[in-house]
Amino acid sequence: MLLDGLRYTIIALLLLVIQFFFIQNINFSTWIQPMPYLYLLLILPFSMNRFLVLGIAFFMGFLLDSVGDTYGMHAASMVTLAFAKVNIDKRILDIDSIQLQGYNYLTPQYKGFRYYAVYTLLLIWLHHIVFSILNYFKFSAVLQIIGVSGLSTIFTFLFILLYATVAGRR
Amino acid sequence: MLYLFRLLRNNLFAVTFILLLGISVSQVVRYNIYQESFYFNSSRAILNNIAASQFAVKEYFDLREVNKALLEENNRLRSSGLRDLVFSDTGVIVNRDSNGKKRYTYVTCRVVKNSTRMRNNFITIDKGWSSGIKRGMAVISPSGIAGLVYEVNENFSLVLSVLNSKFVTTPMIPAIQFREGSITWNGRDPSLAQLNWVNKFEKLSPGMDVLTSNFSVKYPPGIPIGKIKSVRKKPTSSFYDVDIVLATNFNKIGFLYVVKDNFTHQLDTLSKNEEVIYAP
Repeated sequence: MLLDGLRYTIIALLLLVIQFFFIQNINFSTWIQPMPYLYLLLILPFSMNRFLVLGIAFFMGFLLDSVGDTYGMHAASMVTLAFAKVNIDKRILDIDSIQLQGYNYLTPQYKGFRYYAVYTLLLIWLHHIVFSILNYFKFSAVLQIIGVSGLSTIFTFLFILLYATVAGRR
Repeated sequence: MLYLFRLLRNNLFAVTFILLLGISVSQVVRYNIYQESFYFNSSRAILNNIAASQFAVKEYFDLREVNKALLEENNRLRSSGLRDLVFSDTGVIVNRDSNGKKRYTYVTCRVVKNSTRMRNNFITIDKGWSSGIKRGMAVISPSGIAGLVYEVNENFSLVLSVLNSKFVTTPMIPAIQFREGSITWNGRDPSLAQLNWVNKFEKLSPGMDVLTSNFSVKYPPGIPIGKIKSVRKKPTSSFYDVDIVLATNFNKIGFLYVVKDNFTHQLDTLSKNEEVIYAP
């Protein structure tokens, strides 16, 4: 239990460092803003207390907000993601069968890549659309909000796949 | 009442979520509506130092010294220019050589942190109120305008970049003696700004220089803003759509100047009096 906590802390720090020092320093385009740090929430075990999940999400967002000049954008989108994830896990996924197969969180091995991709893309897009809405904060920027969140979702997903393959190899 | 408490207890998770969301969104609203930032003054003292050391890696070892020397020299040259002097006309002839009073002084500073990807971008610089920097001062780069000072710490300041939805300034186009309209950024391309409210009867053409106006209260006159890239006419509007290529490359800024206006106080007093007299 303690070891797990340590492991997740290290992963969280690693993701935050990657996000802050590398991803935010690369200028892809104004349309593409990948945020792979949210991967931490996707790999938290189903058995974790949901209030703790919410707290971790808020704290991670708050850390990024206080370092960058983004006010509460990261925190708000992370909290939304956590809330949605907990509810989707509880109401839609079949947690018992996943846990019986020996997985703590949803992986591509459970029901194939397509199932995993839909679940992950949906959650990432939710995070990104909240972030873009708060970033642009204007009704007239609807097209930009949709475009930026859509493109960024694809790139975040690619980064997450890359991270998962590199980190999962041991 | 008891029912309400029970409702709250049963939906404690949702309530916690809404509470946390409210806290974070209120910060965004606070910036967008009240124009205050909460994070800069409260939590940035240590983080700024981390960011400063991170940026230091980017600068090449020897180039840093050379840059610094060049910058100081530029600073001296700038301060000696006639543009910064105000000439007092006491007699019939104005002597434009020695009769001037110095209006602008410049503080050189280093960029600690910079962004160009967001809708509202900021630059953090390594000088604060201990170097005499105040909120609202103009910031320029060696090649053009860069922004306005937004928040000040003891040793750091947050600069509202030109690439921010809150940034507005007034331009001058010397080729056609034009001094109207406003410069803003639409959030798309960090190398292009937009010139708004230019009447279709003006003879604008691509390639014209756009400078800061002498009507600007904050910027010294004649600082480059950029060059006109394209001029489009919309049939539904009586104004042009103008794109300007910014003179400053915001992805590559390293050193900046903060402009101190020595006559701000006098200008402020004048505009205050204006309000008193013409108030209905």
